[in-house]
Amino acid sequence: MRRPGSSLFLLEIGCEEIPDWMIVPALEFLKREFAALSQKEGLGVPVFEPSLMGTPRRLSLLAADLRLRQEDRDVEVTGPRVAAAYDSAGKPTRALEGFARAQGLEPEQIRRVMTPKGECVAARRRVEGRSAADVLSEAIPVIVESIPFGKTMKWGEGRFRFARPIHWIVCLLGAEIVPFRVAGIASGRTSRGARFEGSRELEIPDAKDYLDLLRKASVLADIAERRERIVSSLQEACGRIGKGSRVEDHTELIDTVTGMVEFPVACAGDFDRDFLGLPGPVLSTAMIHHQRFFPVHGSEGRLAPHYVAILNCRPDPQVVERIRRGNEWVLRARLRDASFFWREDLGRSLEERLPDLEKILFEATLGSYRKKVERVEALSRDLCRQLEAGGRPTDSEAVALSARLSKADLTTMMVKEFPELQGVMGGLYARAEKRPEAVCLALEQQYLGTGEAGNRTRFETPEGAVLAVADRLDTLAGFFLLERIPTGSRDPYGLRRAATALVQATLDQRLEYSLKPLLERARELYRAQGVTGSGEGWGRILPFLEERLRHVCQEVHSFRYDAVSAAVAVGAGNLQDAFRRVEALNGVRGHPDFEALSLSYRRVKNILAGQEPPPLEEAALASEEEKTLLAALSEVEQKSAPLLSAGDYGAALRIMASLRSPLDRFFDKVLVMDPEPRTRANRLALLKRISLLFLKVGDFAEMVLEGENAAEPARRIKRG
Amino acid sequence: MNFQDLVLALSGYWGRLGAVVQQPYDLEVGAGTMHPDTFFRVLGPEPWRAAYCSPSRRPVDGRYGENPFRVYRHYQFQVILKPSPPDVQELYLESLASFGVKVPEHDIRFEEDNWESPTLGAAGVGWQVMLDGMEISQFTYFQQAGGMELSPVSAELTYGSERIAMFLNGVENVFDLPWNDRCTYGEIRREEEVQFSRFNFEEADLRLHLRLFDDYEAEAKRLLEKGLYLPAYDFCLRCSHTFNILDARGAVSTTERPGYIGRVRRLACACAETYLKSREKAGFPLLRSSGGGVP
Repeated sequence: MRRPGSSLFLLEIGCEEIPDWMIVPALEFLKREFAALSQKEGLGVPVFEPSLMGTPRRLSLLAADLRLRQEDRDVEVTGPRVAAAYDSAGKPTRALEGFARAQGLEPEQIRRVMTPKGECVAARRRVEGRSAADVLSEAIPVIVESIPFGKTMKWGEGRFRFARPIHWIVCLLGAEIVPFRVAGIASGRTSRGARFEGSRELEIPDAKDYLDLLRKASVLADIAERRERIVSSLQEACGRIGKGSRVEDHTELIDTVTGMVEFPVACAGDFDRDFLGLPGPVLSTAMIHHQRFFPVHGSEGRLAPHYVAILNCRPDPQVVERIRRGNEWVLRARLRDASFFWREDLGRSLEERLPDLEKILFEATLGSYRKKVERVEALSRDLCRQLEAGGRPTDSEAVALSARLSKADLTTMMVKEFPELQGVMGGLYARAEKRPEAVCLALEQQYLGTGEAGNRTRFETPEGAVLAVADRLDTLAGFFLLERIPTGSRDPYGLRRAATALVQATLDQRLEYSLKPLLERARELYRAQGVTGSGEGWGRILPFLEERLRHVCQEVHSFRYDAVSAAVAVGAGNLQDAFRRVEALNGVRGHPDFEALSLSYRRVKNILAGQEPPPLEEAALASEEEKTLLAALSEVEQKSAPLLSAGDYGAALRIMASLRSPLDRFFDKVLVMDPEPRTRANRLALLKRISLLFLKVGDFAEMVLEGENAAEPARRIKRG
Repeated sequence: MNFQDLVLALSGYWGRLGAVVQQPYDLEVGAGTMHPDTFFRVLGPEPWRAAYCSPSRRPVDGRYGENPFRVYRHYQFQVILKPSPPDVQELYLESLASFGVKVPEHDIRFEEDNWESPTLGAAGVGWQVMLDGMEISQFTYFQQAGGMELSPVSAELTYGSERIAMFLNGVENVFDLPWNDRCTYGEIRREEEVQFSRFNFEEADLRLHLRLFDDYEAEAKRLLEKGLYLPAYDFCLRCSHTFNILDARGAVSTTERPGYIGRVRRLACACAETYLKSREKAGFPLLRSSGGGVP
């Protein structure tokens, strides 16, 4: 299979248990760096198979098709100038002799070459390619030491930092050890098997034997193989539970578990049916987040009193049975704990808990959660008023109530124990109190909206979306007042996520509102609390939200950046309105009428740059083309006005398209910059009216036309 | 294996490995880490090994003796190994055999869990150790203590004694745990849980404790000026526990909370610095002896 003269390279860094989430990024880094090294050093393009190899206790790499030696190559080294190399008699000078000696050649073997500095002597030498083993033993330690882990540590008396302490390194090229040291540990051929087999030593005679030998020592190093094993054994174990049962499909949990075990063994277990009285999210969280068990659903789709666990152990029935008893014992303890919390928490209503929020800090300067819910309630009432004024009534009492109760669940025992259930618990407790369903749903949904992928849960109710918007707006306002603004990759308060959630809540429920007055209100509410801030960061909050809108439009909805830019360029103070303009502009991209219109618009924009024309005097229009254009424009204005105010930008754009030919003819026949000032002013005024109409949808100059370089958003046509 | 035998087994195991088998500190602490034999000894270059069972008081965890899993005061079995030996994980796994848990017969995992104590200015990297799905220990490589980077690094192993004993005995309520062959954990401890829950949540006198915190802090500072870091540290621990009582009583407002924690941390860091200077002046005595029984 492999090319002759090529070899299989193996690297295994044996460690104490590395956190599951660090493993794949570290392996990808190793692969990337190794491929770059191999190409740079002329060792060929390596083939990584398996693609990703690693467990909590080892980061591994198998690279096939590696050249054993670099090619020999000729190198030319330039020496002194000819004038200095030979004396007047043409004899080699000492300078030449020194140069030749340094190059390992006789003076007779020295050649002459022309250089920019004049004619010089030169030595041409054959440089033997280095062996791959040499190259690698120099370069691999550097790569290993530079793996970027999210968090590193020191151990013992050493100063070396790594994700966790390193215990052994296997590094082989075929059957040969590639020698080096990292963290004081010498590379060799001794690996180790699974912990439950006593971590016994394992000699690897040749890189090609690695995977099989590990498999025999109960380690599945290939991540894809391990994952597949997990998926299939989950199904198998579930099949034994009973007909119609189904393991909850949970990609994230499968990935996590894959990163936590070396040898997966599935084991189904049960819990007492009585626990099914607990709310579903509590059961799932206890199983998934705390025990990493997979919940099982019965044939009717509801949670069944079973789970499947992926164990890391000997596949010996007695061992598995013992662990199952332990697992069940632990789960029972957790669920009894949860039942206790659920019962205790129900003893006090959410309303009764509000005073306790005073003791929970939202942020040191911004005050407690008690203060926060008061602000959020005020903001959400304002937001409801705006929506109502725009013809979109929401249940404002439900919104206000849910705002007031929104953080009360932070004081419950359940949320203290299961922080990931905040919001969800609020909804469940509200439902138990027989609060209106709109309130329960709003509480439950308030933390949604941060995911970007297709599996994101949408905001289902306007009340939930309004609460989410008010809550995030309050958070953003507070942190921007304190100048805690995200920079680059640093966003310690999760403000980008908060702003993304705000945008998605707005778009999911098509909430039409104007950000400015809401932000002003948020600022006032903080001011009333004595939080004023220096004011510098405040001006950056709208651009920050605009940037998030662009992000959502491009990354979630896959709209083209130029359509997004064109729409946002004329303002995004009403996010939903801006979004509809993006949608419309994105829809007309590439249509010939709009290509032409965009081009004309650029001319309009350039001509108008810096001009403030007086109002149009219709009577003073001289040429036929001007009159035709004005007539067409008036008609388009009239027809599009109701569409624009209804926000039907797509239809408005289709009407605007009819301006194409009168505008083209105008530019063909009419000189805008007429020497006569009045004529000129009038023509400019006409163009201004066109521009104002276009700007109701977007800045068409931002649109990239067919054939223009789409990867170059900064590009502009200079002349109209 | 009953609760008492578990503690004895761990003491015996680590004692045989050269750890100083210490007694718990006779002041209220929230965790075994606060014992001077951990807090101070992890600083500086001197080697050290110690093991002890530390009663740990956390007022907010009190449940009036009614919750089957949660108690205001629990027992941490604490081991500190400095520098962390290369085979520390193996040593830990072997310690499990001292109470009958054999590695090949179980699913034992090391799951990421990093630890931080803002009041001690301490932080570490490590795991929670899971035995068949139950957390039985915290395993931490100390990276920082008293606000200082540590070198060498110590390994701290903290066994949750009650949990392990419950697991071994298949008991689902901590109060049913056999302490020895005659008494249960509940017979010995429940009343204490009831009374201290009432004290911490309802009865602790606020004015007294607010004043105590200030007084303890002032005393610690005064003692530090005299270089008496050990008594100063005692007062730092008293501050810490007093804060915990005030916290449980709901007397610490949100804005004050970080302030209190900062005040305790400053004391702890100052004690740590004074300790280190004093040991340096003494020439780090344990570097010469086989300090703390390190073989």
